Amino acid sequence: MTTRRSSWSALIAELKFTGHLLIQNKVVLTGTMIAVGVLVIAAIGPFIIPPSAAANIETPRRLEPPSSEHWLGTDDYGRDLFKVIILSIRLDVSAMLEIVGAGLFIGVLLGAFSGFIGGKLDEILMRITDIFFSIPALILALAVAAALGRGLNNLVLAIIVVQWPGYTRILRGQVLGEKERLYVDALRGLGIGRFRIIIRHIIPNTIYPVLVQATLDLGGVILTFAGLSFLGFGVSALTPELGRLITAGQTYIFQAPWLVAFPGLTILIISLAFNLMGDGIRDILDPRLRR
Amino acid sequence: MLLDPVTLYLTERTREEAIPALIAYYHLNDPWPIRYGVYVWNLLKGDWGYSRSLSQPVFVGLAGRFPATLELTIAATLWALVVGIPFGIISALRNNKLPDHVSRMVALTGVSTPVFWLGLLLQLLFFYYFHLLGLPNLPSNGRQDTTMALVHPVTQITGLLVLDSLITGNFIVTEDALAHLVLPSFALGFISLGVIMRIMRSSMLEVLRQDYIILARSKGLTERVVIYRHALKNALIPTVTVTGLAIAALLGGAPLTETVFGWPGMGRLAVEGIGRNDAPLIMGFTLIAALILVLINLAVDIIYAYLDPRIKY
Repeated sequence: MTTRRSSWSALIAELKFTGHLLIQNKVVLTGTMIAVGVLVIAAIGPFIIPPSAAANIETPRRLEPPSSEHWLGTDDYGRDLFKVIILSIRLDVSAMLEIVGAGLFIGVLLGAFSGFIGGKLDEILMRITDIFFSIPALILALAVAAALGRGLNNLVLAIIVVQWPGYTRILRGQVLGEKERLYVDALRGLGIGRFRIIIRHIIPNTIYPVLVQATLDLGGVILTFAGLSFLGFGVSALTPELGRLITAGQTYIFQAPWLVAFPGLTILIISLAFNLMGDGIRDILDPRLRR
Repeated sequence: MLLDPVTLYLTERTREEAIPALIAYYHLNDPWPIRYGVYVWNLLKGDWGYSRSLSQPVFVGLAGRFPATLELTIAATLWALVVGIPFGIISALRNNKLPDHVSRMVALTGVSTPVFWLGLLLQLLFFYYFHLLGLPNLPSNGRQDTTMALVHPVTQITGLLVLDSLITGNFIVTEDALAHLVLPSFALGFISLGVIMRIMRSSMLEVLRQDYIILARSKGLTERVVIYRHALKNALIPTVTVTGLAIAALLGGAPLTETVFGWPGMGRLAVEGIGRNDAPLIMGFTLIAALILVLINLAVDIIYAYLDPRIKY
């Protein structure tokens, strides 16, 4: 009696069309290519550069300027900065994806149920999101991270905590309109349960704007992560991580400026690439801007 | 917290017998709803808790640092608005031409730049390299020169150093304070500049398509009058909202910028408080940030009514 096809297949077709439009805009294409490149480096980094390079302390070689041997110079432990940066990208990018992914998962589920079921649940969830919106995100993440204590997982968790309410709000708004549609009544008439309707039909039909927002958020999330890491949350000193590298380089800013310049530039490039991609995707998906 | 909270209230001279009394005084053994209730009740009475790391009440500590953060935020917002609005208008008028592409790149770079890194690079260039080249360099640390503070003390009136020194006629200090403001406010304002520029552009484009603009043009008004007298006021409405949000973002950026520039504001205080596990101080800072955000949103709504007479409350 149930339908075999869910609404997910339509979403996949739409995403393919988006991809097609995406490669037509040069700026967006560049951003997307860099973003893909960053993901590739994050994935294969430890295979092309042995992770031991980050633990390879050679104090006599410390603070050497960039040369043909050490492309970006060496840091205060005598490690090759280029290798350490490549190894760092994995940690920062995976943290970024984890944060947005988890925020999206929580936000979408809560938003869908909140909007579809309505009533008390909706009221309570929306007041909770209000609380989150009344505190600047970075400050709230700072406070949560401080309460949880130092450590990579705690930092990721702290940023997830401030990330989900935005997605919940957007999705809930979409669902409020979607649940009045005729097909929902039809599905109900067929005797299909609420849970199934939400997961198989409501979410795929409303998730679009949330996905766009999530893409736009990627670039900002890596900044928040690196920023809090710079302040000393997150990983310990020798672990390769971009924000942490800047903290370490700060001491030698006048003596060895490359220690600050290159890790920061890496963050900027990653963030810019994802922002360009997200900006392009939003333009493409916004029907008013679609040419 | 990973550590036993009572250890924060102990010194080597605390007597063993005093510990239960301390636990009872700070409600450390009570369940969290009770502790929260006590915190909120105390807040209502004006007691924000006691900061161990500052050895003074949280409210006094934060109030002392508030003007520095306010001064920095005002300077950052001002320059982002002064540069962002005209450039937003220009890129709307030259839609899809070079200025528009430039403003788009600046905007995207602005939201993609780690503010703490930008701060460090600015220090490197304008403080260190300018010094090496024998050029007049900009100070990179703190709110004013330490010897200046001793030689020309400024009476506190508003707490804003630039304003206070102007009022008291202490112009040497004004100059010094302004010089100290340049780099941190540039770094901080750069985040919001792009956002303001883009929203100004898109709302200007939106307004220029309206019928009344066509009417104004067909009446034979000059382009200048059409843009600045007819279009600008309506185009500013979305910009006001975004500026409100941007100030909130600047507030969020304060812990990072203030740490990098050694700026004696609330953000740096909070970061230091975290290093010393000073929970009341961190809670106080978060609370004050939330209060400011709510007040900014209120202010935005009030400015709306002024800009758009159709909106009545």
